[in-house]
Amino acid sequence: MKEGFRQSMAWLHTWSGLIVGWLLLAIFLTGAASYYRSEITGWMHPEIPSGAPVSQSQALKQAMDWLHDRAPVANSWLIDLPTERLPVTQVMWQAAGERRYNSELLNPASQQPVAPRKTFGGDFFYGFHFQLSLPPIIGRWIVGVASMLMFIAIISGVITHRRIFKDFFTFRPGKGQRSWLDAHNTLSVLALPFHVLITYTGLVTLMFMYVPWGIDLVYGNDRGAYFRDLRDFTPPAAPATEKADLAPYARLIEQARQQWGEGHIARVAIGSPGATNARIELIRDTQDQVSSLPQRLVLNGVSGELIETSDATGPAKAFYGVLYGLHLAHFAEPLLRLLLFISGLGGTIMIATGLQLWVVKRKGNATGGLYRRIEGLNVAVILGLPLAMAGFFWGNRLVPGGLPGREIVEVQVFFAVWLMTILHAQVRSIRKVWREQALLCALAFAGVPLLDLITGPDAVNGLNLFCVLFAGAFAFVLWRLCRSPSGRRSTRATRQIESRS
Amino acid sequence: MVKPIATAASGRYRLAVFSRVMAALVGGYTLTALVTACLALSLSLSRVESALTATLPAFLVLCMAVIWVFAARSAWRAWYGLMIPCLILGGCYLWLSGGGA
Amino acid sequence: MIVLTWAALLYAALTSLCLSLNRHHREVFNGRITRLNQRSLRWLGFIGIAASLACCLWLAPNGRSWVLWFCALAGLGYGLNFALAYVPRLIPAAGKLALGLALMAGVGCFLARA
Repeated sequence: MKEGFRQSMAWLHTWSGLIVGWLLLAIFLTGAASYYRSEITGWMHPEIPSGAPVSQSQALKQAMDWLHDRAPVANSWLIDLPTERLPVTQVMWQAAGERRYNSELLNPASQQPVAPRKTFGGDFFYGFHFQLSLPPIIGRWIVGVASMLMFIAIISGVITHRRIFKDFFTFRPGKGQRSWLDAHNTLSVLALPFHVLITYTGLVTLMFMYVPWGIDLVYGNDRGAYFRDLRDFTPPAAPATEKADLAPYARLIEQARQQWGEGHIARVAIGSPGATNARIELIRDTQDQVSSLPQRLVLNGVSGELIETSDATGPAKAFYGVLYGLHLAHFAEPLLRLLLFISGLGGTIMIATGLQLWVVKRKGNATGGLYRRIEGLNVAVILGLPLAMAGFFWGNRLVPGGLPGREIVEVQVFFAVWLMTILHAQVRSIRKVWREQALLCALAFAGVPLLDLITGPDAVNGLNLFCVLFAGAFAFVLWRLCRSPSGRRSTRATRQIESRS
Repeated sequence: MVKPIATAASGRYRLAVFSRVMAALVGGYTLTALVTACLALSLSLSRVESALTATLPAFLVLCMAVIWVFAARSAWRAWYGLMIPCLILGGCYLWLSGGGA
Repeated sequence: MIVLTWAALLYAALTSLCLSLNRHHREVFNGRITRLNQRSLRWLGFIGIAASLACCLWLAPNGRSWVLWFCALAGLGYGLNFALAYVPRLIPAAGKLALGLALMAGVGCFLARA
């Protein structure tokens, strides 16, 4: 550490990356999967019809009528209108005197509730991404520390990389340690803006938990006031005793259309429905803005008159909204979403190559010992985690639809598969471990669209296509693994063969 | 004055590494907390603006503190480099929270 | 079509920059690069990158376009890398094809707007 700035940064880069490498790989992979959270949820609820979305006005009418029948006396109603990515209406209501919300999914085309199987869907990967399926405080702190170390690894990595531009396109496969380093460098450098931003904005999303003094000193104990200020939100008063009819749905649609144009309502929040002081909030979708803070209209619940709009935004709030929005990428249309997903996968492979590089460098020709254990854990995260994710999809279709608590069973399947890969990776010979887990991954992902064909609706689905591509990718990995006779490290013979071909 | 270079496995080296890690953790986090606190108290913007402006740069501060700790020429320098700003900011914080309120 | 214009241009520019490096020039053309070629490829590359960014932002001037451009940079860079590692002889042809596509798509966009 006295050897100079670059070397000390190289030391920092290696250790900060290594300590949390496995964790970061899991966070990155589930994060990349979360870009397709809605699509995964749609796939895992095969009862939800796919197809042309109905108009917002029809969906809103249906939802309000349904709630009027089923929950006429409630503190509040929430209606999430169907989107192209998830074509189902979600209604939630908070019964008088209760704190929790009941929810139901409505099929906007058939006017019936959907009654889908209980599953977490894409929300499982999303929650794992920032909470690791642990209790909130513990999970988010662990992820936060890992993310901070990732940020330090990125910055120190940039400082230490001597020929950063010359190495942009350098990738020499089949040369053992050199190849791992090339892959690690090129994957990180080409997507550097993505990695820096995704890590920093990730930290920003939970910043008040990690660095609470800003909010505590300014707001004291009243964090609720902060959230109200952030969202320009005045809480509704308790329901009045006098009854009055809610404004008709057409009026709400018209108000939204005047302010925002056609079809931009994401959520309708109705406070005190059926009372004289009912209040309706229309919340806009955020697809065409980078900031995650949505625009809102507040209407008088009985007359449908516009009371206020959310206009005022200070620079810090706007900046925060943009940073938050950049992490969630809710504005990403299909092409951009695919590119972001590819960048996320690139980051995942970058971490994988870093982990493998560290082990390969130190393992030498030894077949046992500490480095064998570590390489086993590497495989269990690099190949075992994707296998567990495929297992999650398998569980969704194989676990009976009516089984109570089935959503927990699906999660248990995920962890069980992962645990088995961890054990498998420690027990078998390391070369067999790599090949067998790659084979299993290829088979598991190939099986997902087949399962969908057998058990699901007759719909062409993006997720199925992705699974086919992943199966192909793992098959390619398996092929490369089988070609090199000594497993992960290429010998002089293979290098000679490859240089001649 | 040049200190003798410790070899990789020696106890002295491990102690130096441990010392720097502690400096980064404890000292870096303290520095970040103080920067945030002083910003929060000294900014006279609206409440939400102050809270956000004070907290958004926090991770940059922490990152720079950690880089300083590991780039410093000795573990002692690493500590001094953090303790001095901490003391200054600590003083500012006391002054702001005591006098300003 | 809009995306094709600046994306193909970006790929061509990256190819140009890649080939301006002696190491990669040797992999593709089996010979050292001359100083004149190196300088012209570098200039072309950087101008192409700037033009691609400008085109992307001009055709859709919002925050999302910035994200899209940088993500495309990463994705196309990965693709170029992969191609360079496994099929280096095809790189110059692919670069020229991309440039041609960019020009055609650009003309198409222009005509569509006019």
